[in-house]
Amino acid sequence: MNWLLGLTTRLRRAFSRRRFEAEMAEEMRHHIEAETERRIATGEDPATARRRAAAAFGSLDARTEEVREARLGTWLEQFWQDLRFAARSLRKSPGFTAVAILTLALGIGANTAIFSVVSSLLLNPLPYTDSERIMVIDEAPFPGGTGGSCGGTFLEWQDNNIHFESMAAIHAMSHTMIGRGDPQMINGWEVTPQYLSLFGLRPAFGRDFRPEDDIAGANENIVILSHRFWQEAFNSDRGVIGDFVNFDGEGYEVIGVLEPDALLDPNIQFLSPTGILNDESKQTRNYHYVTTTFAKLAPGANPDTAAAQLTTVKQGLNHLYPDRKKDWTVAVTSMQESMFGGARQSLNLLLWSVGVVLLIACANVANLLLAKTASRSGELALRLALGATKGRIIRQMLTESLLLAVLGGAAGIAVAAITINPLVVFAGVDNLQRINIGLDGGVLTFALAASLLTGLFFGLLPALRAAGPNVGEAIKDGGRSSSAGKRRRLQSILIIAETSLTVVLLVVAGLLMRSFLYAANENLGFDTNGALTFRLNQNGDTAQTVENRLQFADQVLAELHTIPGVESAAFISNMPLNGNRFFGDSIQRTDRIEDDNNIVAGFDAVSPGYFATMRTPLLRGRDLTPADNQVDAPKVMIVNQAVIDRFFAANEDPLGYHIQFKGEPHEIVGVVADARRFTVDGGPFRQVYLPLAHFPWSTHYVLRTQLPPESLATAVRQAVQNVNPNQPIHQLRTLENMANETLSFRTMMLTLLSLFAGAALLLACVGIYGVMAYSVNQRTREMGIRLALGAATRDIINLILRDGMKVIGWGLLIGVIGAAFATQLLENQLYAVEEFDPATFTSVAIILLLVGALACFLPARRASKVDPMTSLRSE
Amino acid sequence: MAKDKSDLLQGTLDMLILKALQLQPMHGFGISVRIRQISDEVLRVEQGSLYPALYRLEEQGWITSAWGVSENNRRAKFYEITKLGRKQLAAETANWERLSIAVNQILNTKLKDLA
Repeated sequence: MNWLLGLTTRLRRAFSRRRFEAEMAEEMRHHIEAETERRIATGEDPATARRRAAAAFGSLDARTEEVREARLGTWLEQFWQDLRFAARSLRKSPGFTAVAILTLALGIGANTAIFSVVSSLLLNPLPYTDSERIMVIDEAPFPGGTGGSCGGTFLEWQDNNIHFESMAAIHAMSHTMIGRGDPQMINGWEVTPQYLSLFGLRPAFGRDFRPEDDIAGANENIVILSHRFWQEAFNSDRGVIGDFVNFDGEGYEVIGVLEPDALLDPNIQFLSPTGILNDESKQTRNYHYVTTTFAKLAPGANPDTAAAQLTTVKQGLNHLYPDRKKDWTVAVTSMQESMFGGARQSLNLLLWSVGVVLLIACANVANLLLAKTASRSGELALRLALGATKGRIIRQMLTESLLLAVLGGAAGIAVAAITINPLVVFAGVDNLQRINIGLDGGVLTFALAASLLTGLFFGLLPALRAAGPNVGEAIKDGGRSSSAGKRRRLQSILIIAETSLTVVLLVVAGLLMRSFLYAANENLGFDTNGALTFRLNQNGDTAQTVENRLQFADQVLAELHTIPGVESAAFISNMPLNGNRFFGDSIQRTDRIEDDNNIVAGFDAVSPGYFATMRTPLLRGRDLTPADNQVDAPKVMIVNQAVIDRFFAANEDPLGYHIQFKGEPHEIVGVVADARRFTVDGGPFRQVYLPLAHFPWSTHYVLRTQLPPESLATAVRQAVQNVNPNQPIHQLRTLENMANETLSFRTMMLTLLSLFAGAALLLACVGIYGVMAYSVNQRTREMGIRLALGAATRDIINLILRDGMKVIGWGLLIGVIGAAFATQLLENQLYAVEEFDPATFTSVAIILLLVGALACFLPARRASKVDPMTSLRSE
Repeated sequence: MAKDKSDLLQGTLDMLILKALQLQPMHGFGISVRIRQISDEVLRVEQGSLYPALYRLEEQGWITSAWGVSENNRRAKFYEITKLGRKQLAAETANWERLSIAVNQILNTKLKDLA
């Protein structure tokens, strides 16, 4: 007990230096007082006594400094001693050291790699000046929702805001560039003049946009090139400023070139003016001109206040908004949150699960240390007898653990360095420019902290145990006394902890995987086998009027139909499973206009025969016909089952009824099955389909064939060029690949998660095996006696197995309970699978029991093969 | 063996402190007085160097400390020798005696040889 008190005093002293030094000062003052009194007692006068006493003692500061130095000196000396001893101890057992360092390296390395991704995306500020003030302003259909913005709302916010110092809007635009090599499709943004300065960017050379470039009557045909685009297509020619490039048949003057990696998106090749003020149709508030609005908060401004202010403004101008936006508000979110916030949940899940793997690794190393310490108990007891304090021994053992952990951490950093790049590519976040995902200062600090914590974590228990053993006993029987029983119990507890953590991880991974497979295999609403798809963006000169666009589309379809092997061909404005982009608008039954105006449906333009080509079943009515595809034809639409479910009763025949869409009634002429709109996990979305005549924007083509779809690629290119030689093709791929790409993020996540769960299982298995093997080793004599007394091999095996499975059983039980809690947090990620899915829990339990039994069986078998004579003699 | 002169002095001081505490716990000032007494005023510990030594001895677990009230009713920190400390003192004392016997012999031998 004494040493515990001493330890607490020392800890207290270590952590409250001020108090210690105050005490010391008081002590020294007392000394001087006492000396003074002694002198007075021998006859000196008080003043002289005091003076002489103080002089004899010397300066208080100097004395204090000496104690401080002694303190530091002692500490350093002891630390250095501990370190040398620890290094020697590790060198003496190379096998143990190697296994421990390897285990730790994998655990810490994996954590560091994942953390580096998380920190680059979510924790580090975006690489722009004052990036924490850069916000994205959205129209909010409901609290928490974000709905982008349009030209009209941007202008409203720009003209009426109080809390922002600058604002800019961007609109995605593609052009076909002609005249520099083959015609190619290029991607860029139309931006308002403040865009670059908002981010603190300037062109590398040339000039930025000026306010005069974006007012009514300004010349819109100017462009700033991205650095890479300038290098690739313009040969890094500095004389490009003032030259003209041909976009869709129009001449654009190059006014500037950006710095390398200026923008986050590496695919953006140019910037040009929005021309909002030049075109009244862009100034409406009905998503005619879709924009993303960035804004920089004034210093000290608060985003919520800003959002509230803009909402008030919006409500004052509600009469300018379409009806369905009546109750919408304004949302202001940080740009970082807007870009990466969605990935937060998945990243946290990964971080958590890789953390669990590290914990399990710690438990394994702790077990290893316990075993090693036990074998050193004689040596330790001797040291205690020779004068070491228990505190010192504990510090010694902890130093050894920390040294081990730091070595493991260093190796872990090496592991992370190797795995970060493949991880980034695998996770699909390698398409970010300007943001570097790698081992920066923050990540290295994390690795160091993780190593130290890990060291404390697995080292504390064995260290306390090391100082515990009774001296006499330990020397006498070398570790087989009751302290061995306590140690076994500790090891069992660690195994139970490991096992339960493994169970939780396996259950989580299992549930997510099941949910994903379920959703992926569910009917997509169309057939992905044997189809090819590509996208065409029409040139300016061939798409002046709606008639031109219709004609172009028809011609392409005709050409496609002439390709041998093509069963059917069709187009749609946006493929299903296209991710998050969609065109949506509100719909109503014309005969039953409701006050609640929030029913939104996605809408697409399709050609007749689209549904047949996609093999989407037509449930009622008819497909669209060429007759419907005239600009002045009566407005008709095809709707999907989800629309019917919302607006019609089960026994109502919807054909003939009208749907109010974009302010006009459209007759329902057909009903089709639901096709997955955004991602595999979202439920079916309401969707309406219109003839191209009423929505003549970009088109995706799809053709059905019995031949391998890739083989038709050349023929398809030729077919399109037959219609227009300058028309480039985009995103040519099989329907199957397209569907798979949508799932790629989920696939990646689940692969990683399964990897970690598998690693956890492996580590737990190794841990169980190690502890069992060690325990069997310790009990060799006992086994020998049993065998000599007539026990059968089978009995020995059963004995060991029973002991082992008991521990595993506890681990399983606790793990199942823990998993039940953990899955509560997964609620919204599970699709069609409940949190307590019996199948998953049962399979995890079976796997664990089987694997655990195997891990116990091998040592058990070895125990039964003990030669009684040898074991009894081996003392 | 001592590595250098300061170590030797340090070790000697440690032993003197332990010896002073052998009979009863004392505070810092008391220890310095006692050392002077025991050595008949020959050894005067520089008063300041007492405290770093006390700190070190406590670190090593040879003495413990506790706050108490001194003979003139003041708050003072008292030090007490521990079991470990006693063992250390016994060991050092034995060492010292062996050393002094050996030195004596050397010195005596020389004188005799000269004769």
